[in-house]
Amino acid sequence: MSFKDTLYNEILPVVSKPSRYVGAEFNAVHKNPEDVDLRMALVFPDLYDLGLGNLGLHILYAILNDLPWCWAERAYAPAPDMEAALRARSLPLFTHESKSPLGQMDLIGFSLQSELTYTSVLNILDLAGLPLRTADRNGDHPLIFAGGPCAFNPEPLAPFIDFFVIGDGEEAIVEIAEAARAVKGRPRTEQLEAFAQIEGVYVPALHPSVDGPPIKKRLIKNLDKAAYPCRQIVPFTQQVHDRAGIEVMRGCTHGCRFCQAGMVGRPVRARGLETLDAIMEKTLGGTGYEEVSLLSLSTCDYPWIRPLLDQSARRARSANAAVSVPSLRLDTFSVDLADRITGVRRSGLTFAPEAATPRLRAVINKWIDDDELIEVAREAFRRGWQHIKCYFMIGLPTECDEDVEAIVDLCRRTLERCHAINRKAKLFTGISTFVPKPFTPFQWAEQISYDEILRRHAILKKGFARQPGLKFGHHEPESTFVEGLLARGDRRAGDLLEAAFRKGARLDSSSEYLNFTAWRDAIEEVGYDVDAAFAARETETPLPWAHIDVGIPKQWFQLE
Amino acid sequence: MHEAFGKDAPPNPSKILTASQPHSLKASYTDPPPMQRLRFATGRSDETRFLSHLEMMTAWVRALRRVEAPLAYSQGFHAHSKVTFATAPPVGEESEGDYMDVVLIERVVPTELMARLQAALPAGLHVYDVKEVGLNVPSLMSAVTGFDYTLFAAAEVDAVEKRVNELLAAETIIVERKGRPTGRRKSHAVAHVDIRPAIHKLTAYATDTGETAVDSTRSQIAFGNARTAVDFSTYIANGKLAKPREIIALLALDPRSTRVLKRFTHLTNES
Repeated sequence: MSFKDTLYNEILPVVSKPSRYVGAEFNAVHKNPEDVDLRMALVFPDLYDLGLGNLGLHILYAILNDLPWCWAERAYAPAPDMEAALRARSLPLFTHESKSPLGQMDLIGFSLQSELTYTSVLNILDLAGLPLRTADRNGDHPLIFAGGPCAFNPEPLAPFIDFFVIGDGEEAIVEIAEAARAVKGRPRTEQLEAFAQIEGVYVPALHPSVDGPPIKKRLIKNLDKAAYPCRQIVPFTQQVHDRAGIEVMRGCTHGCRFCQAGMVGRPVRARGLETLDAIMEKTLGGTGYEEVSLLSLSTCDYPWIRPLLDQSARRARSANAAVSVPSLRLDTFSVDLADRITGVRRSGLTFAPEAATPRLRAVINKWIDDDELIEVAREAFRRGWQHIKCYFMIGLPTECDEDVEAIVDLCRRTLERCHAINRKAKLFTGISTFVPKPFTPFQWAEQISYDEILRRHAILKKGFARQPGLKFGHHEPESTFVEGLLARGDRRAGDLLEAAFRKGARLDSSSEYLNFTAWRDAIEEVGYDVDAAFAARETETPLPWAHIDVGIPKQWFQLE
Repeated sequence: MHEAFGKDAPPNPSKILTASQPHSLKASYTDPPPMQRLRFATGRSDETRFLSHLEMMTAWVRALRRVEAPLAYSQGFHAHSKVTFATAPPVGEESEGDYMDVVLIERVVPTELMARLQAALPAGLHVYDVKEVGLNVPSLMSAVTGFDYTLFAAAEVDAVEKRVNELLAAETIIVERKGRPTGRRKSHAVAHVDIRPAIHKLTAYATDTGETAVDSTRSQIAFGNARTAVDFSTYIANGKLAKPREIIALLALDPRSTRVLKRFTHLTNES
C-alpha cells in the first residue's frame, strides 16, 4: 500500500482531529514535482492548530510558490497520537500538500516563533529520518534553515541548523531559493558558503565563535512594495485565531524595556492606506473569511488610524465581515475605535497594563494611569462589552511583593467601578512571567526562579480568591522555566535541548504536553547550570548573540 | 447591510440600550428579508471525509462567501449565515448524495451561482445540482426520511452475504445507543433500540461484478482494495434510522478499513 493509502485508510481514521493532516485547504498550492527545480518545506514546529494562524509562514509560502521553478509545501509538528502511529510503522513525517517524506525536500525551513518549539524542531528532524546535528549531515540530506523572531539568538539551535535568516524574510527567502537552486547537488561546504554570501544569513559552521564580523539583520524598507499573500490558506479546523491577518506595521516606537519584538523590529515601517485597502479587498474575496484582524505590535499607533478603520469597516461591511485589532492602547480613544470596527461581533477587549504600580511602570517604561484603565474599562462596559481581559507580568526587574499585590488591588478596584455599570461585568487576567530576552535593555536582568514564580502566584491566587467576576489566568511556571533556559542560551544549550528531546520533551508550548520530568532529567544529565542561566549578567560580559546586528548599538541598551 | 454605525446614522437616544443588554446595532435597522432558497445537491470525498461537521459547514460557507453569494444572516449577537444541511455526517463518511439549503437576500440565477461555486470549492467538496425551493418548506433535517449507502469492505463476499441473510431473517435487531445527558441525569443513559424495521434493504456483492443498486454516475471515489460492497438503505421507523457503523458492526466488518459512501438522501415529497 502506498504511503498515502496507509495514511488515509489506516492512520487518519484513528487519530484525533484528522482534518489537520489533510492539506487540502483552499489556497493550498499543489504543483507537479516534475515541473519544478526546487522543493521546499516550510515547517511550523508546533501543532497545526497553532501554526496555521502564523502570518509570516503564509507570506513566505506565497512568495516561494509564485516562483515557477519552486514548490514550497508545509509541515507541522504531529500530535502525540499521530507521532506514535508514524513511529510504530516506521513511516516518516510528511509534507501536507503532497504527503511526501520530509527528507525528500531540497530545503527545510523552520519558523521559530518561541523557544518552546525547539524540542519540536528536533523531533521533526528525527521523524524526517535526518541526523539531528549539522556535523552528521551531508549533501545527501536536505539543507535545514530557520528564521523568525527567535533567530535573533540562534545559538541554542546552532548545532542543528545549517543556516539562520535574521530579520525580514520576504526578500531573503527568494535569494535563498535561488542560491539553493544554483548549488543543488554540490558538496555541502560549497552550498553553505553560497548561503553565507547572502545578507542576513548566519551559517554557524562558518562562524565558530561570536567574534568576527557581525551579521546584519535584513530590513524591508518599504512594506508597500513587499510581497503579500492575498490568497491565504483557509483552514478547515477552528483555529485559535480563526480570521485573516493583515499586517499593518512592523516594529514599535514605544520602547517598553522587556519587549524584544518591538526592539528588533525597528525602525517602524507602516503600510499605506491604499495598499491596505487593496490587500483587505483581495484577502476577503480570496478567502471568504468572516473576520480580518489588523495586526501589528500596537495597531492604535498607526499614523492614520481613523481613516484606516473607516476604510476597513467599509470593506468589511460590503463583504459581511468584521474587523478586529489584537490589543488596544489604554485610553478611551481606543475603546471608541474598537467599538466602531468590531460591530456586532464581540470578542473581549484586551489591554496589557503589565505593571500595577507607578514605580514599576517607570522601570519598564510602559506608562499608564490607573484612572485611565478604570475609565476605559467602564467605557467598554457602557458600550455593551461583557468582559475585558488584562495582561500583567510578574518577575520584572526590581519587583517586590507590593507590586504583585498591586495587581490584585488594581483589578479589584477596576471591576468594582465597572460593576456599577454592569453587575455581571467580568475581568479576566492573564499573568505571564517575565523572561529576559536578547536585544532588550533587560537582557542582562535576572529571571525569577521556579519556586519564586509559585510564591508570587500564591499571592495572586489568594488575592483573587472569592472575587466574583475576577478570573485569574496565568502561564504555567514550567513553560516559563524552559523558556528561560533557552532564551539567553549559548551553544551549550544545544546539548541540553538534545538531551531533553531524547528523554521525551516536545510540544513544550502546550501545557498539556510539556514534559517537565524530561527537562529536569536532561538538566541533570548534561549538568546544565540553571542558576547561571537565570542570573543577572554584568553588562560587560560578552553575550552569545553579540554577533547579530539589529541596528541598535549595545550602548543604547545599557543606557536604558 | 449594517449601515447603522458610522457617520450616517447618529444613535437615536431612545434606542440606546442600557449596558445590561448587548449594544445592538439592529435597534435602528432591519435585516433584509429572505428572497430565495436554493437547495444544492452536494458531496464530499477523499481528504474532506475527515472533516468534522463544523469544519465542513465552515468550508461551505466560506466558499459561498468567496463567490459573493448574497447570504442571509441570522439575527443576534453571533450572526450566522442561513446555510443548513440534512444531517451531520460522522468523520470518515463520504457522500455523493447530500443536500445543502442556502437562504439568500437577493435572487440569483441558480445554475450560475452553482457554476461559480464549483470553481471556488476546496478539493474534495462537490456540488452536483441546484434547484430553488420554497422559502418556507420544512428544514432539510426535518425532511429526511432515509438514506442509501454503499459500504466498501475488505472482507470476502461469502462471509458477508451469510451475515446479511441472517440479519434480514431476524425479526428484531437490538443495538445499544448512548443517549444525551439530560437535566439531572449527567451520564449518557444507554438505550436499546430495535433497528430491524429501519433496515429497508441490505445486499452484499463482490465489487468486481459491476453494477450497484444506485446509479453511480456521480461517484468519483475509487475503492481499490475493497472486495465486497454492501448496499443498504434505511428509512425512519419508530423515529429511528439505522446507522452505517451499526451495520458494519453487525456484519462483522473492520470499522477502520471499511469505507462508507452515502449514495442518496431521501426527503419527504421530494424526488
